[in-house]
Amino acid sequence: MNEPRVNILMVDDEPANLIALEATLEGLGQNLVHARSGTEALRQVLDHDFAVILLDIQMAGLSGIETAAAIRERERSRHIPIIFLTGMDKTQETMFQGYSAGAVDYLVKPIQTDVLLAKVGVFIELAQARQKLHAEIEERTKTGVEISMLNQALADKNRELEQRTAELQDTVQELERYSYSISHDMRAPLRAMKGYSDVLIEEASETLSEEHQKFLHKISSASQRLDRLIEDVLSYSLLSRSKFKLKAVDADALIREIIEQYPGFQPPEVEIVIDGQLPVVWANEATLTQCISNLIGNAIKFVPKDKKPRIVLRADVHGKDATIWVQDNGIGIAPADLDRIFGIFVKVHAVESYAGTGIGLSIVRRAAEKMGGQVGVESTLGEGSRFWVKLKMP
Amino acid sequence: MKTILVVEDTEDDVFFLKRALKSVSISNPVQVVDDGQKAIDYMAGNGIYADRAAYPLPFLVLLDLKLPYIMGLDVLKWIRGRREFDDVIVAVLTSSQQDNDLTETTRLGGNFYFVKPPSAQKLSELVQKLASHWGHTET
Repeated sequence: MNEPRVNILMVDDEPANLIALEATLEGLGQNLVHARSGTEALRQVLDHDFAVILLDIQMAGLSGIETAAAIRERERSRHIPIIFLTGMDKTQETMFQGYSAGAVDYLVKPIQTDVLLAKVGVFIELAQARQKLHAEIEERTKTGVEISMLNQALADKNRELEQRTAELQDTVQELERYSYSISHDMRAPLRAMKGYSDVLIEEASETLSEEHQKFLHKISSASQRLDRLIEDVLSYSLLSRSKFKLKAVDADALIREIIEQYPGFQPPEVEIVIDGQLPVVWANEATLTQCISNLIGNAIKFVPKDKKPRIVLRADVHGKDATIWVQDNGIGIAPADLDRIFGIFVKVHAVESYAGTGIGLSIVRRAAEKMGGQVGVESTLGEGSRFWVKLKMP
Repeated sequence: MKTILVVEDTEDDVFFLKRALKSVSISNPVQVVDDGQKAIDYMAGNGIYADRAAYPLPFLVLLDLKLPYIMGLDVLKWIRGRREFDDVIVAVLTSSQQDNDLTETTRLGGNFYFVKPPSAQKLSELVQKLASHWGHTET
């Protein structure tokens, strides 16, 4: 491992001593810095960091003790360990002064090489460890700063996204309000068309030729078709905007009621069977009614005229998932159309043969999704279709 | 015979409504106002409506919701804010089912909420149903 090089400061007013020290310490492979006086030493510690300072006590000018005290006073250099180099004549008093000034150790001249190397070696390791720690802290701080910058960028993006989502929601809401209003206002003239042609059919049929009567009926049925279309668009847009809480709904009771009540679902024209018991599901009653009545209505609609519609409803339960199946004996759906059949305004059959608005199945899908569910279909062309609605169970 | 007040701005709907009333043999006099302000003026007897011989107070108000100046729900609120009209039946007849409108109608004290049906026959059935509620044979 590559240890970082550290600085060692040697302070002595005797050049010969400095040279001797340098010769001893050279082998450690660190940066050796000379200072010829206390003042110079102070200048050095101002600009550089040192692993250890070897400080001669007896110097002209600023003495070793005074130098050490000055080094200790400065925040920047307070932590640097100082080894005093002293002559044989050191007294208890100077030693005490030295320790008070911040010496960590004493070496007595003539200095023993191995002792010097060992002591300096410890401080080099200490400094290296500290440097590495600093580097690591710096690295982490840098990473921390980077992370917080990334977080900031993320927060900005999030805000941007939120703003865009809000704008989009506004647009969608506006569109839905718009479509609602249009659908609303379109019904008035439509009622007039339908109403007046009905009045004519009722009161003036005798005065019209058979062909003209037929035209009148066409006006009446066309306006009725448009009214159904508007009704479906309204339901769809209302469904999109509606907010409701899900609750446990007894699908069996609800669907039996739908079958009993809807005018178009009655025998002998159609046969609707519930196979077994349908489960209790998480739903909204009105929305589930919309969903199932559209599926049944759809199933009946796509049965050839010469065939009696037979619709079978049943349910599969897997864990907390309930799948309600609506099976018909109708014309079926071509494999290519299966994917797009739930799209709005999608019609896969000619208008003349099977009248529809192309919205019914979109309502089914939207209704199911609003209840946290899914819809799908399996079909064989010519044999009928099996539509399914998957909902959660309480 | 007691008067019916129709609050409706669509002439065609007024025509169909009158016709439906006739078709189920309801011959009560029908007064028509075509905006919400006039509806309130009529009920309050303001201006020309002060002449109660020409504009008798109705026992039944057929109220459209989408109206010029003052919307139907505000008219309903105004009527229900006056004790003297407690006995007046208010039936909302609107273009389309909207949950909010239905909830508000009920909250504000409307007696009925109907979606205008698309055919003359259905409208006759509706009026018949309404008539059976107020028992028009007694009027």
